[in-house]
Amino acid sequence: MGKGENFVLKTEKLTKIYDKKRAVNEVSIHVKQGEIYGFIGKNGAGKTTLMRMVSGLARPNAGTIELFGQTDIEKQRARIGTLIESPGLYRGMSARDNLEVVRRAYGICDKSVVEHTLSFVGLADTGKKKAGNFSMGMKQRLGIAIALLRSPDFLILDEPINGLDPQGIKQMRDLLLKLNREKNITIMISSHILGELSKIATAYGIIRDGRLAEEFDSAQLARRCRRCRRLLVDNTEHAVHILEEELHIKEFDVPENGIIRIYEQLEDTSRINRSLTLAGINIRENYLAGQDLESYFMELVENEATVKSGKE
Amino acid sequence: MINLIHAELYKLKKSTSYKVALLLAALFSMITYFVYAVFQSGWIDTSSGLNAAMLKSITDSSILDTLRQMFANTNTLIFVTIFLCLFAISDYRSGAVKNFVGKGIRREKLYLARFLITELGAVSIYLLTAFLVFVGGMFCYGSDSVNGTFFHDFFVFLTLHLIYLTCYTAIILLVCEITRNVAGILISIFGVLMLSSPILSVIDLLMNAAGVRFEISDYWIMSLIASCPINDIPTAFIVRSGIVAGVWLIGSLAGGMLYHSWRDIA
Repeated sequence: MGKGENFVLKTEKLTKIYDKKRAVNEVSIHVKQGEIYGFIGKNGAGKTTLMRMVSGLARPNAGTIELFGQTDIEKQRARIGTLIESPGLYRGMSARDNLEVVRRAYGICDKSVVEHTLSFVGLADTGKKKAGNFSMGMKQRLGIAIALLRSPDFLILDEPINGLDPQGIKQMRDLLLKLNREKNITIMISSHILGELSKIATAYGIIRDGRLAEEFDSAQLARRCRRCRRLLVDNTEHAVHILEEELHIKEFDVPENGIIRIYEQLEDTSRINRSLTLAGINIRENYLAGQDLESYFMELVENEATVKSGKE
Repeated sequence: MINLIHAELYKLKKSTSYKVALLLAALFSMITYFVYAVFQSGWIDTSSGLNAAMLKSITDSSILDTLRQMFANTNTLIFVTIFLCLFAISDYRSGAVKNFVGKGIRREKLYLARFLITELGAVSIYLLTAFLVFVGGMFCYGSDSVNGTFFHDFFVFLTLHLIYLTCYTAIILLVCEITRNVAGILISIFGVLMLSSPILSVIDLLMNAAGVRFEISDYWIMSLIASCPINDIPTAFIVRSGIVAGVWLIGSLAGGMLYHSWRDIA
């Protein structure tokens, strides 16, 4: 990512240690203005901890955070809206009362902002129903309404579609796209539902065991998930050398030892076979394969993949 | 800060625990008078036995005695404590604290605003209790009971207890800030309200036995609440009350604000 780009969020070697365990380990992420940044990782990978540090709920042990290009993050945090883990709602109050408390705390003079925000998230007709009696989807939407109350420029949403039914997921997806497109709000969103995330995200960050494994955008993702030739060989290092030096193949990766995925010259099976065999490499498998987004994500999240190509 | 106080006031207005505590404290403050009224009505035989003793006890009593019973015996304080704890931990139980922390609002201000409003709630419970004790007493004992130094004693005693209450609120808020869950209620009721004074008395005894001429309980707010006289309060006691309450108030508030600023929000 170039220097001239406007970063809404930039962290540098951000670290959080709990009981000597590095929950977040020197993570440097970059969220550009206007993006929907999908933050992906297994349970306990460090997603929520990082979001909590950015939101000011937890203090980093090391590293720096920049918001909107500024380092006075306490002040800049006034420009972000957050929904971390579960929405923070007063269960005994109505949706309107919940927003009213937050409106007063933020010092928003315009009282109509409560009604507008409720309408925007589709909760205008909940009346005096207490938040404790809301469905999961309604609670999530009220959580987003609270996050939106101060017209933020940047939304941080941690697992906002957790526990939602398919209809709720679709409503949430439409809401997030609406926020991004109509209000130009940059969104950082974490989710386990990778297929769903891929429908809205324009950039991705993969976190594994507290470390940021990769960052890429949706165009790069599309290239990586294209069809490939998958080889299973007995000498990976030598095979890689042959591919590069003899066959001049540049676009390939080695997801794990013994497996090579080639993304170019897909129809040239015999030439690849011949060159590798002549070099004394035993080819156990050689077939054309394609990856869907979900399996690609799973591979990134699960394995220490060494993606050599496609890292533009 | 004004915005935060505004928001906390709205929460107080909507708080069920506050309304319930207010109602219970009001009902409890009228119990003595209610019993008196029942006895006076003649529905219950009060010519002998326990009923006669109770009637005599009430008849021999006064508005000031009832006020002391409400405040010094911590009868009202139990309702105040439950309200304080439930209100203080509500933001943590609901997770709503996340809506305010890290939004350009300083955590110290959040804590201070919460203290001011819980204090306001607690003071209103005390004032309502004192008012009902006075009004009920006027009906029960008649206007003759309001004589000479009555108003002076009434207001000095009430003022001292409001000072103690301010300090007590800060201590309970600190306990709740540290626990951030229902354990705060248990520690506050059993640890601070009920057991702290007896424990300090035992420590005093042990220290006396060891030849140390110093009573630690003289410097604990619960001891002051229990020992505050209803009339002819010595100036030295008032001064000691002010200093002890002030030190505990500042210490608890500062500790709570620092802890709130330092600890991560779960």
